[in-house]
Amino acid sequence: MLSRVYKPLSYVRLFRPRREALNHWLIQRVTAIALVPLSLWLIASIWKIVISGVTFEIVEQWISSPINAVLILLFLGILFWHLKLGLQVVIEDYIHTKWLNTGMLITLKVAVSGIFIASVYSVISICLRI
Amino acid sequence: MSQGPRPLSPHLQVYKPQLTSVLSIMHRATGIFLALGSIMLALWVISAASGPEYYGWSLWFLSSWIGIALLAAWSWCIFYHLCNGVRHLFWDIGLGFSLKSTYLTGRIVVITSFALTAISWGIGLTMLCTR
Repeated sequence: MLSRVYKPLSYVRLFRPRREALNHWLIQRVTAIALVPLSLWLIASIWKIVISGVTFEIVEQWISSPINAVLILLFLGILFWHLKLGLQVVIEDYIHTKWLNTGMLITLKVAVSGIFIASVYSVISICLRI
Repeated sequence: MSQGPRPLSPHLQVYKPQLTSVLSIMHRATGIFLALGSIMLALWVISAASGPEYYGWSLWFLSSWIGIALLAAWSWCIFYHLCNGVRHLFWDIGLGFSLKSTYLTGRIVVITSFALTAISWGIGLTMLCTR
């Protein structure tokens, strides 16, 4: 009974990587499906902005509209999640030197989190400014 | 006994390029290139939040010839990665695995990606010129 609650380390070592791989696979697919409509919406929106002149005021107004702001935040979150999973696989597949592999995976996590937080903060600050 | 470096996959250089393998590599290549596009998108949003002066810099870069070339390349990469991604999703549910359908869907992906890029730029540029 106790062993069911306190999983022995060997059990965790055996099953954790497998569950992580399944999560990775599943999240990559779910984010991919979500990105289909979102990226088509973004392309259409960027054309609309370009056609109306790409001025600072137009971009500011476009981002600060509630629907756009929510969709941009959703898009950024799903995009950077999908991007992180994809680049992680590329690093795991092609970088065979142990220290470089670990270093690049950590750098990826930090860089993706950083740029994601910065862009989300920017969208919110534009919304609050207007 | 020391064993020298072990052989590592994928052995890209020993295979003759085929439509299937080239499309598979292109999926990764476009993915990596689109990651750079995502950083550009984030920088564009960050520049808009930082004020007109910073926004002017990102607009200057994106409307330069190198910026427009990058946008054109990114737009095709989005459509290619999207179409081939849908092809992957069909494989995930077990459809389209035969050699014949793999080649057929591969050709459809390439043609559709170029068609969608042309449609996007066609509509966009027409509306830009006739506004």
